[in-house]
Amino acid sequence: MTEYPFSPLRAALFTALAISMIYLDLLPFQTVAETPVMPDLLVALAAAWVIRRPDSMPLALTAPIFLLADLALDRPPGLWALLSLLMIEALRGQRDLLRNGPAPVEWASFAAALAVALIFQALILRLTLVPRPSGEVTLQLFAVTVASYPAVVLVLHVLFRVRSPKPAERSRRLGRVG
Amino acid sequence: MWRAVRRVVLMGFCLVFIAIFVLWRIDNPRVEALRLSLMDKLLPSFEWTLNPITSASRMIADFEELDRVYEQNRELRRELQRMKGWREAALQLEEKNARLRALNNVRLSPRVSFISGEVLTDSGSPFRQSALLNIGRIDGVQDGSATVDGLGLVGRVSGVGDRTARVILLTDINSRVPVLVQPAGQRALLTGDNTNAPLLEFIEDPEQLRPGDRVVTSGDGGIFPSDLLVGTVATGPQGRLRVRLAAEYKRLEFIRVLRQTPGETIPGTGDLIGPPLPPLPAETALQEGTRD
Repeated sequence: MTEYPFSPLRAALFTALAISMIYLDLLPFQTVAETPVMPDLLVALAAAWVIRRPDSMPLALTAPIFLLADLALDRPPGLWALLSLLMIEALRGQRDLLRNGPAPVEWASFAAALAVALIFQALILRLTLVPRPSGEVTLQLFAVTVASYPAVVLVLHVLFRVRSPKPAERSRRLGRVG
Repeated sequence: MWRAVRRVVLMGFCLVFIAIFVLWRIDNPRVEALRLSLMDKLLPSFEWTLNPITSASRMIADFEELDRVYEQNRELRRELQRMKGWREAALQLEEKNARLRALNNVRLSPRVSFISGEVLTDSGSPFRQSALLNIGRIDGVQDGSATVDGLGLVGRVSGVGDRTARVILLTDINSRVPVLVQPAGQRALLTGDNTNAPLLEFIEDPEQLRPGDRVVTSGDGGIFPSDLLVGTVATGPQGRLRVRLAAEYKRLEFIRVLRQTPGETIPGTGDLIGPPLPPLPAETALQEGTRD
């Protein structure tokens, strides 16, 4: 596999961004019920990042961050962390396909993965009899998170220079290694 | 080889997450306590960043309202005019009340004291309605206390850390508060359902309620003090009775946590009341013996 080597700096940047996403959610703007649902930026960020730079997202970093988000954001602890971790790992497995394909394919696969995760979450919560508000909120969450994905990708690409290795660069690296 | 190790690590994390979820489902209070102690450790270190951002955003929100200042001003003047009338009435009533009380020699119940705290964060999730305050056990906050915002009931303290406390708002789906609807005197249960106007359930006779009736806490269950203002009755779109909350949830900055001194309880029936009985003969003999 032709990847960049692990860089602690990038990993630190990812951690900082992820924590600021949790922090953004915690700011007290949603004390009123029925406010517009905020997108789950952490999942969007992790998905966009894992497709571009999987090397700087080791499991030992992402899993604790997801668990921290669950604990901080008053969600059933462990459940959404588990599902988003599996979702990120699935996207990591498909990254070559997603990188080389057109952008809409990447977007659609993110949406599909998120939908599956949310359906599983709803199902498990229903099975374990955890009280939940109506499914509308989940639908809104899905819509705004999918809508925020291109923006997250753009910000990562332009502002933080998180880009997938170019094919030319990859072949050069290959040559150097070989 | 590397890939196999990775897979094992992934499985390990998944199992840990499943274990945490199952533990939360089975033994909720313990995991919630863990969650609160984590926030208790983390948040105070973030507090200095939270406050400026929150106040800046509030300033922007206030600025947006600047364009309707004129309209608001006229509205306020009208309201002030009305309030002056009410103030007069209130003063007269207070005077009358004081006179009647003097006649009656009433002992008032001990006043409820309160601690004010600032809202640090909200729940961060669209599925939960709660807020985290910057006061906790060291400030004397107790689990289950009622919280008000100066006007009406806001919610109930659920989980206290050393420096933080979580308040479950009345709009949360887990919130249940026994209330009394005045003037009909009907008891009901205020049930949050993730909307801005919680439902009134288990009303004895819904026919007697009118939109606009005052809703106060009934004090049933002994957790909340009675007679805290909650809001007014309103009819929802589907004809269900809801409560328009008096607390201003949009501007939840400072919250008062009520410190209630527990009322005295009467443990049993009283003893027999009557004239003092004459002492028994044996006792009188004994007493006389000692006197000699």
